[in-house]
Amino acid sequence: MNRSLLTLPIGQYLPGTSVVHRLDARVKLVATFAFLVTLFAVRGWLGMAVLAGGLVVVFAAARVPAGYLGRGLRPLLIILVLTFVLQAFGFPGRPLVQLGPFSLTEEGLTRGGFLTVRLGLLLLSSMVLTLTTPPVGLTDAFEWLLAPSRRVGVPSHEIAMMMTIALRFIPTLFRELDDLIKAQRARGVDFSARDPRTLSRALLPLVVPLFVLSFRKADDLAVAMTSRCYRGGWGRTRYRVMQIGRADLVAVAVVGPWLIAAVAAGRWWEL
Amino acid sequence: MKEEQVQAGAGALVAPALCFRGVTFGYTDDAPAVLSDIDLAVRPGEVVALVGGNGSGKSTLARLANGLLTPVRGEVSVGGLSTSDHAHRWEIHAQVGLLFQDPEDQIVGATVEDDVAFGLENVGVRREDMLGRVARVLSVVGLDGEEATEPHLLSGGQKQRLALAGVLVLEPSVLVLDEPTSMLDPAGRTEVMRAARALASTGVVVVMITQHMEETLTADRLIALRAGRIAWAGPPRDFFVSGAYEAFPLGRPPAMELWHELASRADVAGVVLASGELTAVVSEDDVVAALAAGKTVAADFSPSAGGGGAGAGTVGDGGPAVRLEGVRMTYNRGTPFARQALHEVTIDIAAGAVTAVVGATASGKSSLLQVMAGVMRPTEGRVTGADGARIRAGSVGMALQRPEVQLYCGTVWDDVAVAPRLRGLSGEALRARVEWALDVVGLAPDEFGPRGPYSLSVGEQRRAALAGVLSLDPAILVLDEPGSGLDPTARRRLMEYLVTWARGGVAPAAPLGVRTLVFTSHDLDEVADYADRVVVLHQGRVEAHAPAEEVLGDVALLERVGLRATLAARVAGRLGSTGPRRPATPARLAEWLAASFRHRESPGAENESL
Repeated sequence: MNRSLLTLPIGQYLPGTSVVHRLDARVKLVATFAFLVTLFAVRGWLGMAVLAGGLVVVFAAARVPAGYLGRGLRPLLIILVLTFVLQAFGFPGRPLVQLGPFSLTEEGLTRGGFLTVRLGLLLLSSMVLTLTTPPVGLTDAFEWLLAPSRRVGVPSHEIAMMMTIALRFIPTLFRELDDLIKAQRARGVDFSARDPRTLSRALLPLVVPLFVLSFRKADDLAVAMTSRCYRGGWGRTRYRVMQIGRADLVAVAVVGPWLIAAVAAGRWWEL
Repeated sequence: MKEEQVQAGAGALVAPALCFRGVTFGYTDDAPAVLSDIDLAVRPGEVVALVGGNGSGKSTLARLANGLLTPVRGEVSVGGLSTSDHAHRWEIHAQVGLLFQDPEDQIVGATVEDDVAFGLENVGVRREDMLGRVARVLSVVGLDGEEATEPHLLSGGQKQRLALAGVLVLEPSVLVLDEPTSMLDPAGRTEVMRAARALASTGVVVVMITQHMEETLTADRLIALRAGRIAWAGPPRDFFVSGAYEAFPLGRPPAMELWHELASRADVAGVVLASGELTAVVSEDDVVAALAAGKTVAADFSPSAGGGGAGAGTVGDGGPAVRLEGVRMTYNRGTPFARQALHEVTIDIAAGAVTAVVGATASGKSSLLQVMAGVMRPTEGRVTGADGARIRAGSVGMALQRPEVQLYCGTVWDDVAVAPRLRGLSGEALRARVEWALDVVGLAPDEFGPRGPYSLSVGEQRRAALAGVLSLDPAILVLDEPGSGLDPTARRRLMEYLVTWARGGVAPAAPLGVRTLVFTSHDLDEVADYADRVVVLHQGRVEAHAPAEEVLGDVALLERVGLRATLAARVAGRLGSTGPRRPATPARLAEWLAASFRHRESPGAENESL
């Protein structure tokens, strides 16, 4: 309860100068997406091993401290364990151990293991993206990739601006929420209730002020943005430029075959 | 447009950069006008201070200047362009820079340089031109080197300078500052004011809305609004010297306050009156000059025994209300973002005393308070109460900065009742407790109880939120910057209510026990007025913990930890007080002056001079 909300490391950018950090955000975004698609296309253990091995290489190249990685995964561990247990006990097959109405099956064990590894790789790959790419890089890449859809009426600039502002205000609102929790606890409000009705009543002293605060901030920000001549994407130039360098080309040349190899390996040795 | 330039040219040699002519504005047709018949022409390079009480129309005037609002009647023009003409809208937004109270809500970019470039991107400046302009502006406001920093990692003063840079990069000809210093500490205020003044010297019009009267003294012209009309206009000094300020809820500059306090003391009054004009002393410089003219001589200050004033006597000898032993606090432990906020803090907070915790930004003040209130568990160390038990959340009354955000009930009464209800109070006991708490902060229960919290002024909201903490009837109250963001009058009133509570001056709902008040402040003059004891924090360590006068007089210590000495201590220093302990309160300054005069009059001191 005393742990500050500000310490959650999921999705936090970790400044650095590694090769992975310096890659163009668009390349990283597309590569991550391609990795995720491959993750679901790969069927066998060998294919999964190729993907996992490659990801280890990426992490090493990004020079992310192992301890930091562990901390990031810890809050998600429960999801991984739950996936494994549900599959291991829930999948029909040859029973190994009987636990009341549930039976641990051999097929369940294999399948649970496979799904857990897949989910783990999914989380790790998105972590490598957010750990090595500043949020502003991600929104820029996102806007660039969405730009073609502008012709069919998708407000790509506005969506990216909303993402930028959301990212910019997340630390602010977390801090406000943290202060509110402390202030209301000092007044004797108890947030440890488990029963949903009591808990929802207890959350009122947080939700109402946070709403009021967010609306006020949004209003002030809108005024400030207008007075700084913001009028949407029309006639706008960009301060940040994204440039595809040699490292980016090399990355594409390496990642493409790697993912294809994983799919091929999966076909060769099916589950 | 041509006609206007001719007219303006007839009135002054230089055409006005900003011009209001017969401007009336109301938000809706049937609502009373917020501003009426405003006529105002400002020359390039002129600095105008705009003052007035809450709701006098200052912020509306700022928005009219920038074209965010357009007048119902009359005309606002910027460099000859009318804001009512929609064709010039973006040109005018770019020409008139606006800077608001809270920098947090004006910063858009994910990094410092992105934010500065935001305005340039909006008006379509080519990237090659942006690079130079962003770099130049960052060096003007002193943020060079912070280009890639994320805004939430900056200090308050830095954030406001970033907001200023974001406005300046569009090269405005008019800069309107809407109380840009009200959320800042004295150091941050000086930074922002210095930057604004430097701009005026380059020909930019600066319109400065402020609640700090000493800031108005540097302006060329002062305009005071009352009920939406210009009620006084002229040189800032005249506003105070003539006594015109008395008709506004604004107070007077602190130096003027100090001067009157000195003049009211018999032992100093002779000298003060000998120096002539009592009313013409408005600024710190004036005070020093007047006292110097009164032929004071320098003398080391030795505090007299048994003098009155804050910090004297036996307050705080009743044992500790809170004891901190070896307290360490580390945020984000084990990550690259780890930051140690408190190092080995061991102190006893005296029961029954008013203790101020002071220190520069990020010195650990807020962490110390939250640890004291039991809402944050220290990484290491023990925090115990008078009974030796560990302090837990809810046993100490606490309010963090700007506590009004925690109001959430439909009425003030219900919000104040939250804590006592959770303690099981009901019926008559509850009513008595709530009314008592509202009384403590000076909100009449009958008048304010039934009102919605958002219909109150900021000062009243602040007091209502504090009533919601006081209704716990705590023996210990810890407050983080209770006065921040309030105007000086509201701030003083709030502090007086709190200190009265601490001294047991309000008839208690429950039997009166020993009351302990701990607060943080950036403003040492405020600390001098209200605190018995002072804790000085510096980079998470306790640098000093002693009676207020002892700490406040130790100017060398204060300088080392980045705090500005009190006005009295600064004046004494400029008059030649060289002792290790300077007179830091008006009372001590008066004593020191009187002693100096006596020294001057005694034989053998004839040859001494200033």
